Amino acid sequence: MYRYDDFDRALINERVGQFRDQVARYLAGYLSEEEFAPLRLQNGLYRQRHAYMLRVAIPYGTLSARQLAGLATIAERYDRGYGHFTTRQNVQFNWLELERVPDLLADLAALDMHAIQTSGNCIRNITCDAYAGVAADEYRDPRPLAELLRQWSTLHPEFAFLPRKFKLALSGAAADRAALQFHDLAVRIVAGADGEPRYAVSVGGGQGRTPVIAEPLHPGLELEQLLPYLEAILRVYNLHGRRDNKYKARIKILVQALGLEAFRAEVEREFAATPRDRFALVGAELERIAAAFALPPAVFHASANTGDVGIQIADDAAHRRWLRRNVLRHRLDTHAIVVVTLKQPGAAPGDASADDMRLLADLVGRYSAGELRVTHTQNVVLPHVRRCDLAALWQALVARGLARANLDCASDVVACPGLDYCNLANARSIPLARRLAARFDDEREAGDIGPLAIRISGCVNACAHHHAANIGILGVEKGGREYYQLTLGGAAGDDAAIGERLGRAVEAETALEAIDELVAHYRRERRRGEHFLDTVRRLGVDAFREACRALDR
Amino acid sequence: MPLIVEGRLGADSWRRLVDWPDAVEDLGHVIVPATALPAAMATTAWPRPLGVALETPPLVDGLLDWLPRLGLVEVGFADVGDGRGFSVGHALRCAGFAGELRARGPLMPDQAQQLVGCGFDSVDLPVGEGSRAAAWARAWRAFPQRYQFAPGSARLHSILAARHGAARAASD
Repeated sequence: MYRYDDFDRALINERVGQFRDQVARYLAGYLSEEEFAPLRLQNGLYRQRHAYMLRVAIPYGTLSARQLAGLATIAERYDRGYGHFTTRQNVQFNWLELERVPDLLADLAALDMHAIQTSGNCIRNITCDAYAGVAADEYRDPRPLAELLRQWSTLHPEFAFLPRKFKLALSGAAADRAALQFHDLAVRIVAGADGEPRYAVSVGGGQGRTPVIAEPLHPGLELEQLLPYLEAILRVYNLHGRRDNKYKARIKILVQALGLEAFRAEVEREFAATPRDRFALVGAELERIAAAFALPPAVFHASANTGDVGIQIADDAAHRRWLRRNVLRHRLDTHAIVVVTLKQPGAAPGDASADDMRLLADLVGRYSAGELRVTHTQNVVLPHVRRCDLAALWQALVARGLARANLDCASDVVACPGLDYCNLANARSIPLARRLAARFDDEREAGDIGPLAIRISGCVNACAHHHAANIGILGVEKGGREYYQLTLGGAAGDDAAIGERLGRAVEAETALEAIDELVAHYRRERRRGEHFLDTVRRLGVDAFREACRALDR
Repeated sequence: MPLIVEGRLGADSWRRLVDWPDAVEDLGHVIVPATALPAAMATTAWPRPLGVALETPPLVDGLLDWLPRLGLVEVGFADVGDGRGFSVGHALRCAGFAGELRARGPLMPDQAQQLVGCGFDSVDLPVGEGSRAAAWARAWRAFPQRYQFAPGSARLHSILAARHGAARAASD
């Protein structure tokens, strides 16, 4: 993992000092409300329904056990003893007092963490394939590039007041697990004809009220070209993106308005005008960073000491379900990737108590070389588990109620905080997510249904990425009451698709009935080996629409 | 009105013209609106560098060709959230502009780091904003070390250059 050096540390500490000064000036009346708002947002601080909320970056989703334990302490010291993992590899604390936020940031800085640019109209926290560095299908670990781009984008003077937010995602694997095509900008590391890495860039994807799938902008840049090219894209967006209507201010609208070819021509023009000498050190810097992302020595050390794959409780059906569902192939045969879904019955998706965080930190220290990941589906990954430790790890998770075998199943619901917390929401997300988790609580049934992505956003901002869900749920408000609009057929990966609307918006109860009917129709109609999405695609959304009577009543 | 130069309240040695006069006499250092720039540039007898005020970005056509004859470019910022001017300033520095780069508009002290990072030297603020001069002075000096390279600015140190410069020096 990357560790801060003195330069990183000095910059983060100076940022904490700057924010402390900004809070003091705001409280003393030297900064107006209008001025303070963008400043606090650039540091991840929102004013929510009940209190201030701080969004902390987990750059490219990688955390150490020490950092997770530190987050547990922060949750207890400043919040009500829990944190909420989001769909963009961030963690949010919901119950903060403004006066104490600078101290919280200082505590974060001591963990090599920050909240810089987790909100505001700037380049946001950069997300990555959660299995980066360990996935069996990976060409290059994208995290060294992600760290390079984290530094490049941190306090970038030119791009702090963009027309709107700007989200970047990276992957270096064959399969897209980072929802690349739903990002403002995505970079995929691919092999060039000469075997050297190239950087394929796509642009203009996004969700919100106008969901768009990204368009390919460049098939393969060389490393030396990448940063000036990204700056050219950002410059074109900064100069020409709309600023008169915040709903039309994202780069996707600019790309659509200009057309891809004209947009590309603008970028090429800026790219040609950008002096390259400023980027001469990028190669050396990427090499320096990459050294920190080699597999931890503890992994090799451990694998050298084990020849056995000894599962002591192989006859336990629940354990076998968990092995099948939540344990994935590691690039080393001796190891496995373990996913802990933060979707236990009764919990809000993505919520973790301080005790859960501490337990996970302890398990990560013991079983995963001290490293974990958070995913954009609000789950936690132990990336380096020895296969011979799987049984012991499972037992420890069972004891804590964290061993649900439901990865990517109907009960692995993604949800935003919704009206329970958020100022923008039209409807609550969490109660509906809880009811879905309860409805599909039976692991055998959920296993039979198979992969089924259900996502609930409390408003059109689409924080839960409902457009990209197999079954999407959007909260809307009609006459002061909460309603839910269903969509069908969305997908986030290489087969990215935007879900189509199903009927009118309905109350929660009816939405649940409709989902039951959709699932029942799939189970009736599916062919052998077909997942939910496959059947929807084969039969078409209309066939499911007809099968869904609840929405007509 | 209040002018912050290099982080401090300063006097303005430039005068603002609303148009380019027909009968040209030496008026000292003057800033002309972008619309008057072609006429001003056509006055080849003009004895000193000119200043130009860009109301709103993006750049005026032909401006880059005139840069060698300009002593000051003023970039307008419509409001606190409108960051187009940062890209304009950055582009001018990348194009080799070496004169005074001035921002004009309702900016706040906390945007000094963006101004400095994009190569600006001064800010022309709305009336009354001089009361925050101390905050401007502090903010102008903030973040002397950054990850990015600043075009046309020797004030800022790039962390990348420091990291790799130190490594190179050690290996020599």
